[in-house]
Amino acid sequence: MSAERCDTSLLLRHLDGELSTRERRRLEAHLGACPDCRQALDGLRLVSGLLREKLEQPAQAADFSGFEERVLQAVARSARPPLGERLRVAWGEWQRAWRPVWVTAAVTAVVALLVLVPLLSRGPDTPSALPPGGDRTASAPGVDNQVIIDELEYRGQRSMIFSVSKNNTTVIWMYDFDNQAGAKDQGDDL
Amino acid sequence: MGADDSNLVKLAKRGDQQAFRGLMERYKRKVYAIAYGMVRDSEAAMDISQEAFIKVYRYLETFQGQSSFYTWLYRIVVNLCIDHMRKESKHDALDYDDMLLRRAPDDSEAWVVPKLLDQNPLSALDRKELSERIAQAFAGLSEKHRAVLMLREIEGLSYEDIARALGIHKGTVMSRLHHARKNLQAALQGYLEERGEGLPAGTPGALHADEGEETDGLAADPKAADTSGA
Repeated sequence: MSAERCDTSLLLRHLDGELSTRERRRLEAHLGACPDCRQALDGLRLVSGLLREKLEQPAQAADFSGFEERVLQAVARSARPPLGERLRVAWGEWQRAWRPVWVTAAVTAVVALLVLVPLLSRGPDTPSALPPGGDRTASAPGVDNQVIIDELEYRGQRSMIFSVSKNNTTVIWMYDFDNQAGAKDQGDDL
Repeated sequence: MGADDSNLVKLAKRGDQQAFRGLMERYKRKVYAIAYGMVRDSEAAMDISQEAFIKVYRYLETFQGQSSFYTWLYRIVVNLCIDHMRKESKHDALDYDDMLLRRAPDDSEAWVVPKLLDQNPLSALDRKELSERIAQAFAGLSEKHRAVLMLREIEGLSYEDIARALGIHKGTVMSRLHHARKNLQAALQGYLEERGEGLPAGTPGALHADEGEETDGLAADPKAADTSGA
């Protein structure tokens, strides 16, 4: 990275121990040659340390005597939540646990439909689907329709990239994950 | 989930009160730290901490176990804090974008600590004052940004765990941390610039009478160093 431009997000991820070994090596090489980034990292560490000190003080000073007893007395006094309520919460927890899987699967399925259905309905030899100068006899049917799907993720946004070899088309679909997360925030069960 | 957490949770699910007590002993201070950081009131933070464990007890059987127990617990705590703040309507957070526009333009310069810090190490007095400024900046963040920062700085959770705890995407965690830290960094920047005003050019030692004290102000963060190999 020493020859690359400064990257604040890399410094932040380094501060949080979230860099891969390769990224860390790149950053260390860059830090060796970039006094601005070294200073920025020092500033981040300073603020992080002071904030942590400040935020930990109240918990160190708080009086927890009888804490466990009070909680246990409260749960003994209160009735167990009704079955319907427990099922509702359990369903919410189950959805939360499996959400990443079904969201990705649903998005992939929808996009695959959007891309594949028009292609298949157009037929294998539609002239308009060929790239300029393309050789329509060079590729076998099926190979032409191959769709390569990639997925990128950055700061709450996801992008899906589809490269359709048949008509030399690249589709980039970006969607904001914040919106989905925000909706989830509002509807929390616990 | 740690092995001990896992066993305690399993036993507590079967109604073992000693196991549940063990979970409380282990996490009560962390829970309180999050609650206090969010609501800024010791009595409310203690009430929320107790309420969080009462909820854990009641709904432990619904805990799926795909994520760590503590991420589940912290989510309960953060939700209780948000509920509390909305009820109290005391929270008057600046939107981070609004604050950024006024305090720190979105360029890399905002992240660079002035060279004053190199030339004039922070004294104990400066550290205290700066610490107050940072606490104020933290209190001015929105609840969402404070929650993410608390879980990262106090609990040391990974981005993945924070995402699970708050029910948001990992990219959103990174984005919120980025903006929250930018605001805190602006507090440092502002403080150092204020302290630097009136400093005659070429007199790097003039800022503090007790220069040289507390020179470890820029010491490497041990947590970051420990985990950077991940």
